[in-house]
Amino acid sequence: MLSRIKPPFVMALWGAFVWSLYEILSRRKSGDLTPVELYEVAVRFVTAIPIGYAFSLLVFDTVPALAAFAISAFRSGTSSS
Amino acid sequence: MDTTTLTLLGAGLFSLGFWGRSSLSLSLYNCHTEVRRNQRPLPQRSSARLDGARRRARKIRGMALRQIARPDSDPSDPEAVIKAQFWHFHGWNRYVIPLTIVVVLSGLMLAFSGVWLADYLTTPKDAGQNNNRANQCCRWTWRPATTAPGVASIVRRLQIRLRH
Repeated sequence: MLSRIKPPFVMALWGAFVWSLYEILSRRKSGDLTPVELYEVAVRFVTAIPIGYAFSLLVFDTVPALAAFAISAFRSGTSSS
Repeated sequence: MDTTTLTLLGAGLFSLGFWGRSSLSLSLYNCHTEVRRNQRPLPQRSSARLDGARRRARKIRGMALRQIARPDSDPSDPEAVIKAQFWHFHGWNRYVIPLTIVVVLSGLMLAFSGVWLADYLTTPKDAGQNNNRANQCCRWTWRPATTAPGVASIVRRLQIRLRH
């Protein structure tokens, strides 16, 4: 079953993970890590797969995994961006 | 789009729907509860039941609220007011639930990624499609070596895999 899962799914999760690590560490450094930010990280994890996969369908066949990673890691609409 | 893709998409959409519905239900519940709460008289709570710590916390919180309500007043203990305000917004009870969620989701994600990557690197790309024995031989499988494959080996396998 695992072999059927496409790389954009996993890359989207990795993008969300990279973003969440960066966000938590930077906010810990600046001293404004709040519970709302942690909820936002959780929401980012939950929404990473559908949004990443949807954006991976919009690009060419060569870089869908990269697109999924990028849209998960650098998605706007968050408090940090 | 195969079954796995549809399953994952369905799971993602279900999660989105669950979060949205939960947030909406909570907002509606809060609205109704607040309206009813404002319409009924405040209950008289006796302070005899409160133990020392709770009584002190309530006293400090009351001082902080009075200070917020009357900013020009002179509090008896300004440091306690600041501490009370800080712990009101940054107490452990406000962090424990989101932190647990983040830890659980991160663990699930890392476990899934690790299992998927191991399967991705060890499964031949044309497995089950090509019965040629020469093609099945093991460019992607871990050979029984005496030492574990290093980072360079993993990167090389990934490069070869992504090139195809």
